[in-house]
Amino acid sequence: MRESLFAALRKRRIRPAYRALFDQDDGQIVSIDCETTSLDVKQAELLAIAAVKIDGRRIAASTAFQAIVRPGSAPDSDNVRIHGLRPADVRGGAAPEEALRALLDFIGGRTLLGYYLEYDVAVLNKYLKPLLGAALPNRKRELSSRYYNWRQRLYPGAYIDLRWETMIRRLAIPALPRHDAMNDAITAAMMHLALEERFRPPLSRDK
Amino acid sequence: MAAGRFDLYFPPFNGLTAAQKENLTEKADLLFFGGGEEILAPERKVDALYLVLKGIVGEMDAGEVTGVYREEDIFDSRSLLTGRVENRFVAHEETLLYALPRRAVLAAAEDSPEFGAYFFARISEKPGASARGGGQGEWRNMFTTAIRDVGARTPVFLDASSSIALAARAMRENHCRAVLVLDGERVGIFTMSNFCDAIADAVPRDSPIGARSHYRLYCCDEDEHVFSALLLMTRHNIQRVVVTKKGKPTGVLPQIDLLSFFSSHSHLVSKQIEQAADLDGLIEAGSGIDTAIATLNATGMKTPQLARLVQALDMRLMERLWQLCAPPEVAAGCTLLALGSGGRGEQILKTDQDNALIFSGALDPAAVEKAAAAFCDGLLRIGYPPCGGGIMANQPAWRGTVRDWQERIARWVYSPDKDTWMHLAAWLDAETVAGGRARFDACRRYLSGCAQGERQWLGWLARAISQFDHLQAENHFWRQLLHRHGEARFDIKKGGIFPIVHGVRVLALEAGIMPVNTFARLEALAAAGVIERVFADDLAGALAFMMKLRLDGGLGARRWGKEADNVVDSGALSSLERDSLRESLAIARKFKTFVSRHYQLGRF
Repeated sequence: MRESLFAALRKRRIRPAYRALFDQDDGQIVSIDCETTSLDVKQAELLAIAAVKIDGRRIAASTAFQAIVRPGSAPDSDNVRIHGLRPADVRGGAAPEEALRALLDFIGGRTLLGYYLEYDVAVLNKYLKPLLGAALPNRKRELSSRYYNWRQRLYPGAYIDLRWETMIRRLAIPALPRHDAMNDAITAAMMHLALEERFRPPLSRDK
Repeated sequence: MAAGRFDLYFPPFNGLTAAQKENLTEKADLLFFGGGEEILAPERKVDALYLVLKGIVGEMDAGEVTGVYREEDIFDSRSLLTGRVENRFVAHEETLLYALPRRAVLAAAEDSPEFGAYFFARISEKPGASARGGGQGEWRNMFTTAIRDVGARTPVFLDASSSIALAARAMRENHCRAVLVLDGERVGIFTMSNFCDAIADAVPRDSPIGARSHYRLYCCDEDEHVFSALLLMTRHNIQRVVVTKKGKPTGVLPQIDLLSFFSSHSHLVSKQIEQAADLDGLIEAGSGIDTAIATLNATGMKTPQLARLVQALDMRLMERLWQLCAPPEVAAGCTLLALGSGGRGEQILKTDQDNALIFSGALDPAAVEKAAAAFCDGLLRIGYPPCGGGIMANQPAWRGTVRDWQERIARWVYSPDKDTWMHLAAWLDAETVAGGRARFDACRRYLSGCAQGERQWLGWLARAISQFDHLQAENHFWRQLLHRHGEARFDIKKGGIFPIVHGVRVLALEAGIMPVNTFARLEALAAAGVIERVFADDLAGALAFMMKLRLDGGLGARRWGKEADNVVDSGALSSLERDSLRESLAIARKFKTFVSRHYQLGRF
């Protein structure tokens, strides 16, 4: 795919030390998910990042990226209930910069995939901008909008429920325990492949 | 890795510790295939074992479906050994697979022999193999077999100073691919591949083998389980292990011998039968037949062949039992017959015993009665349930002299009553188990003589084909399947197998065809032009498929400690199997119509 002008411009703003990194794109897609202390980007601090590569029809779980991040402030108790990361769990985590550098190495210039990816990327950018000098230039693929297109095609004009659980059910994907960054990244990857299958013209079946 | 990815709570994983499971899954990837996409193809290298997380996978052998894998199923455990697949594996619908790396699986097998046994015993079907007592017994039998019992080959020892040429001659003369090398205290091995290397490196033929040998031997004690040897070979990718006794090499066990041991477990059973000195010995051998059935079925052996193999074992077992029950003078004057499915070679799981005796008029009937009673009782104890219709040699009506039998046959043919067709059907499928064939042939010829030209009588016999008219049950079955959660059950013996077997039986009688196996009869009917070749092939295919379904159902039931029955449960069928069943039943229906037209039954 040809790089868009905007992407090229964004890439130009990136500090030279990192620029080469984003040229690395082997066509694989990286499914990514973050757990944070808050749903408000301004307040949110990273707690965990997980990313897994999709190579064709393979979800490379065995080489996935995972990091627990030590936040500046302790996760509040409401949030602990969602992601299950207690202050004690994240205390042993990596410093944010360290985790993010490793993440950048992992994703390179590949397309990112996620569920409400905009939020995850916004939180990541909050940390990355000082480092890179610019936001992440990677192409982004929003799972829920791809799902929306598929349902629209099936039921034009219908209300489309974009909840995570609904999508899992409709795509007939095995449900993994939620709010574990790695599980969510893998589930998103499975949904992505199931969706692509639905957009692909059917194979002729020789019996 | 984070906790709680895919919970491997089912067999064979349920026996693994959390740490072992993690070792197994941390290097595992997920694979997604669309319906119709090929997953594995023959001769392709496989480096993973696939666990179906979602979807259905069909195993195809030259266009025919030979296996179906659903959620929690694993394939292809055969390739675990060889690293290559023999058949095509195709996603039948959207399928999500967990690819467990082969190395990790082998490592887990080493840590947990029970887990390993699950693959190598190849009872790789649904639950229970390792969770249930019954299933465990099946493979325990195999996995308590010591290497000693497989029989390692006696090794050829050569001195390290022997020439390469001498080693080559020794291998040729002894038909072996490796010799053991004695070098002082050390023992090494010089194999075919060492020989190839020596030739490739242009080593002179008279240089000593000592320098070209391996001294790191992979050994197993002769008391270790066969499984250990197999694992050692697989782990180190070697073709043979050295068998030791008290640390001293006593034999060489090539992989090929081991594999043939696994695939021909039946040889061991037949040896057991020959060696059984009493009823207890035979009871043990009888359970060995069950193990062989489960293993061979899981190995993908075709059902008709499997049935014939089981028949051979059953026959041998009955013959041996008869030897134990009948004093020599009684045995000499008797012909023992297996009737019904046992005679046809179509009984796989022991469903009932149908047998009969023809004895010489010179014998004391009381002595025959005593032997017959002991025989039927012995069969019962080995695990053959009594025949519901009382077709057993311990019943007066099922033993007699040649004369008695001819009178009975005449009665069946000329003044039949409502049970007669069943007796005739059983008799038409008779096969001799022990004793002279002449007595049997005299009765069989007599029957053929009676039937000759009796078209109307044949028509009466054929009419039983619609004995169990199952069209309604059949329609109900298919309708139920349309409901996603509805479950339907269907008697496959009455609805599908019986009409084919019986129709073929009557046609064969009319055409004077002597073989009793249905597949053999079909072949002969096609050759004689009674049935069109294509139709005969369809019938054979449909029958084989339904026998397979029945066997799978029976093995499944047995694994859960239930009686095997003939009922097919829609819940246990994949859509592939449903398609095949639908087709098979349609062929059976078409055949019913064919038979009733042939005999102008005019009922359809």
